[in-house]
Amino acid sequence: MDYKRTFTETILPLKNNLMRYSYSFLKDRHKAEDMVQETMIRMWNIKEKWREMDNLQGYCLGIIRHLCLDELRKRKNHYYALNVAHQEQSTDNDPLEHYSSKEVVVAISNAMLKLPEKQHFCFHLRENEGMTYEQISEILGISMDQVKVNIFRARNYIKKEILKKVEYGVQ
Amino acid sequence: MEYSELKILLDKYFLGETTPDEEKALKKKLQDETLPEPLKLFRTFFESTNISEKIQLNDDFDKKIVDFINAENSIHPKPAIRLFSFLRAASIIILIVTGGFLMYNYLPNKFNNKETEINNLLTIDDTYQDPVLARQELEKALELLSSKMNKGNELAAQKSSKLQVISNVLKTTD
Repeated sequence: MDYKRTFTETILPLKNNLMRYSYSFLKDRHKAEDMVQETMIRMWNIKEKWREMDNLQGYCLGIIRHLCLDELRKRKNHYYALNVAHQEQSTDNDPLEHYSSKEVVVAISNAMLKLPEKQHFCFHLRENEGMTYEQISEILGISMDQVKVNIFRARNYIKKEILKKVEYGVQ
Repeated sequence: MEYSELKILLDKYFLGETTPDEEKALKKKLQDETLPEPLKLFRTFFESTNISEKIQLNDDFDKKIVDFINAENSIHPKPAIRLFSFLRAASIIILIVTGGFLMYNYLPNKFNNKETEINNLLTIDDTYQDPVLARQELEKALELLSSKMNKGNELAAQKSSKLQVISNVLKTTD
């Protein structure tokens, strides 16, 4: 197996996908890039095991997820979520509306962090990479039905968490 | 804009039944500024969960990673380190096992000393099978011992006789 070729043709092109996934956790470009770099190096260091892996992309996602969660643990999630809220731009002039919007953003960030691994992968690949259920099932090595169920649960969990914050919903 | 259509699309989205194209259209429709207040919530939902396509890594990143791989390829540090550490561990284990074996078998064991002394006393081998011969040998040994003891007595008698002479002289001078 030509490891270098496999790496440059299969793993390295995943960099932007991994970058967006990492950014969805950390909301910090530099840290997100560090995580992608660490993932690439870790993948290279286990090149002898590539043959045993069904899907390299799914494995990369697993590595970067754990790296991001470790990073968040270091940061302390609570303060991180508040910082995310401050980064959000609002066009509303009403302070109450502005505050409510921040509350919703914090609720969404927290809900995203609480999603189980498979749900988070499916949600990300669908929402941010625009992949079909079939593509996601190939990457994660699960059936299309499971992909659909995971996406359904993830979307509805986040929706439920938002509606908890807001007293009214869409009828 | 027909909001009922938007609501139907949202319901379909949360059931996981929308296609990627329908989801794109949904996100676009939610950008409308005249959106009713309850629906604005879903705009926030999509804005918060979606990561911009602009979040990307440039070619410098590729170069950095490829340089790392090339450097690692030319040096091959890991297998050498692994082999060395394996040999080191193996030699330590061999030393410990050999040392333990030698200590147990060849060095006097302080815990077993008393026991071995008693055993030695109890297991003295008889050198003579014939009791008569044994008695003769014992007599010889005792005679030798008494002769050595007698030498001492004779010497003591000689010395005491000399002292007797001195005491007699002293008595006469008195």
